[in-house]
Amino acid sequence: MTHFKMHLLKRTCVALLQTGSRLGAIALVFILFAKSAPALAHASLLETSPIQGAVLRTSPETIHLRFNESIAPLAFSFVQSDGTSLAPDSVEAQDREVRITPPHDLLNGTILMNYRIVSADGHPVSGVLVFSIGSPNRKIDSYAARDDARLTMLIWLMRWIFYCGLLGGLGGGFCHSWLSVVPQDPSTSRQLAKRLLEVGLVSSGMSIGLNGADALGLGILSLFQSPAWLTGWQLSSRFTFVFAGFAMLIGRLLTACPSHIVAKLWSRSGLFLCLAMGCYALTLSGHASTAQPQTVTRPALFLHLLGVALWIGALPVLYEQHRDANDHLQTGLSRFSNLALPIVGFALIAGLILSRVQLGEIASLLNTDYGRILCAKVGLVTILLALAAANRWLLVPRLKTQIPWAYLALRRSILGEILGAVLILALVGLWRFTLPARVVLEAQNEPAQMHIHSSQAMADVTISPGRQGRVKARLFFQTGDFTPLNPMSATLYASHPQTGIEAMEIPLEPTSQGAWESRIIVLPQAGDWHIRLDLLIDDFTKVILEDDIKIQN
Amino acid sequence: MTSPFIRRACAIVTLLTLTTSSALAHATLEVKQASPNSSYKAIMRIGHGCGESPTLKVRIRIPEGYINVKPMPKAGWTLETVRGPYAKTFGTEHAKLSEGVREVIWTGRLLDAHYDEFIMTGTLAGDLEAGSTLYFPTVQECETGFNRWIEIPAAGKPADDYKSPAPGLKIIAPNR
Repeated sequence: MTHFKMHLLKRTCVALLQTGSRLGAIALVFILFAKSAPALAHASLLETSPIQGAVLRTSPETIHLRFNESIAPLAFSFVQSDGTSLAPDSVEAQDREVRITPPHDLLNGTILMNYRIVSADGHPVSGVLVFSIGSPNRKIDSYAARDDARLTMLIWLMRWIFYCGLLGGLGGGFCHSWLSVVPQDPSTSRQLAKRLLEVGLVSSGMSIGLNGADALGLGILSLFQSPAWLTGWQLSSRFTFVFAGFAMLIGRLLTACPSHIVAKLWSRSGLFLCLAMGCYALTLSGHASTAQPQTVTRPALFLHLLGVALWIGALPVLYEQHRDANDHLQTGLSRFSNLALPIVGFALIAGLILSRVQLGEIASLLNTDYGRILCAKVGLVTILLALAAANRWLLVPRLKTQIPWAYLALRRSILGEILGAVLILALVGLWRFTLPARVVLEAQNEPAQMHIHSSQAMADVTISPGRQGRVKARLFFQTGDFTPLNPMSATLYASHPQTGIEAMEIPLEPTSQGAWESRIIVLPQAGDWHIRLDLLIDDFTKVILEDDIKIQN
Repeated sequence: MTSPFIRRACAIVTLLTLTTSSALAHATLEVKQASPNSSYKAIMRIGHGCGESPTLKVRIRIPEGYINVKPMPKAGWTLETVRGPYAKTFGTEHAKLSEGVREVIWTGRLLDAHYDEFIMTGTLAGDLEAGSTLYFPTVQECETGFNRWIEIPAAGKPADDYKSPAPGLKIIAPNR
């Protein structure tokens, strides 16, 4: 940490102690998170060498994959045309690039190279690079690695339990010690917090192995073997589970403390620290932890989680306290009521900031899985807010006037809130399996690539970004027998037969690196574009190469 | 809404434009078919310049199998030939030929508003297969720009699909 930051931190702490100002507390959170983090985003593949679909004369010496962020390699395999699978000779990763040395005895024909890497946000990314040695002998249109559905279900279930344990358990434990004025033994809300912390602890342990199995692309049975767990232990998400597990363990021990009058203050502070630590743990990995700008997203995520945990945690305590028309309960209720507005407010504002960052653009709300889950979440949150508002402004004032039905209504409404919160956490667990819309948008900026092959000439075509709109084409030419080809001139014609867009003539200029490039052109439609290349080899010889390339929306 | 009449009229006009343009807008051979082992007089017709720019040079690449070529000089035009070896040796009644004219170049001036023909004679080798096509890739160099009549249609595609097809000579079985 820099001196300047230390200074700021000191000043903020003093301000916090002197005034107890809430703004000071928020400033503290932002300063703590404001570490100089490297530029991170969800990994997407930018470039490969050889390119997707390339036809090579001999087996490539090395294969390069370049991503948009630093990644760590997990698993690679080469599936040959006879169905056999070979492991690479070596895999080296440096920053954003992976260099793979394929086995030297690859068979001629089409080869599928499966790759699985883990990106900085801890999510495994897998894909396939298709290339052919000699000549292609299989037509590969799409090939996706299969995932074990049972493993996916289990990962989601564990996520759900983990969130319930972490936010509900730690939030509930703290809120119990904070809000319950009347000692009720046995206290249901305290028991609930204890159970949630226990299952949460188990789920955080399980999640390490589950993420490892998922990262390796293994099935559910691999949980009984060590590789899944060893790999899980190497993923960045382990920090989340270890920190969160530790917070839940301490929290569980503290909830077991007797509610002795002195111990109570200690356990309350301790539980709050555990809660803060648990929320911090969740900012260490995951989509939001790697979204830019990190100085905003990580503190926002932390405040969002803290607010949510306090809100969710208070619900069982309030439910329990309103068992009957009890005069004492007013104290606990008013304690919560005073802070409820800022707590829920911060959770909401932070949540909105995160949604804005993760969505990228409003249209993603409906076009992407990520956005659809967000829509469902916002819907449930709205219901929850309506219930909370009804409690706060309709039912609670009526409690004071001793209207008997108000208690029953309040309890029912709180129960509804709890149910809604549990459902929201289930939805949030689903995000594990989606890419944030901003990443989907980035992925659309990936180039479209293809290889055109004829007996006279071959062309590697890259159109970037591979989506409709302003793009640039970059091409490499080779002769039919794999020697470099330098045509006298080259022209690209792009047409879109589906919508009747006639061939646009696009002149290509040679670059110093032996490639040919177009100026910036506009492809006004998504879908299959027909590309024709006219290569003038000498005054009297023209080679024409044609194929279709897919342009994204 | 366009009336059926206008639509039909448009179609007819388009069709007329297309048919006339395929005759006028390209460099074409006047005689489009011949038999192997016969003499052939190639008459290359140049119908226009490069856009409005006058033609200064006409270059014709002699296809493999069109041997013993002699171009006809033209008044006002300088004639050059490029000689080179054939891919294989052809036997004729008189001698064995292993080399000959591979490219003919006329240099002069032809306005876009005018029309001219560029002529050579030669022999079609005996081993040319009936049904095949010999292409005479032709480059028209103008004051500004080029026209390259050099596109050789892919198998199964008509020459009309191309913007600047190479003039072609269809080889047909001899009449006996």
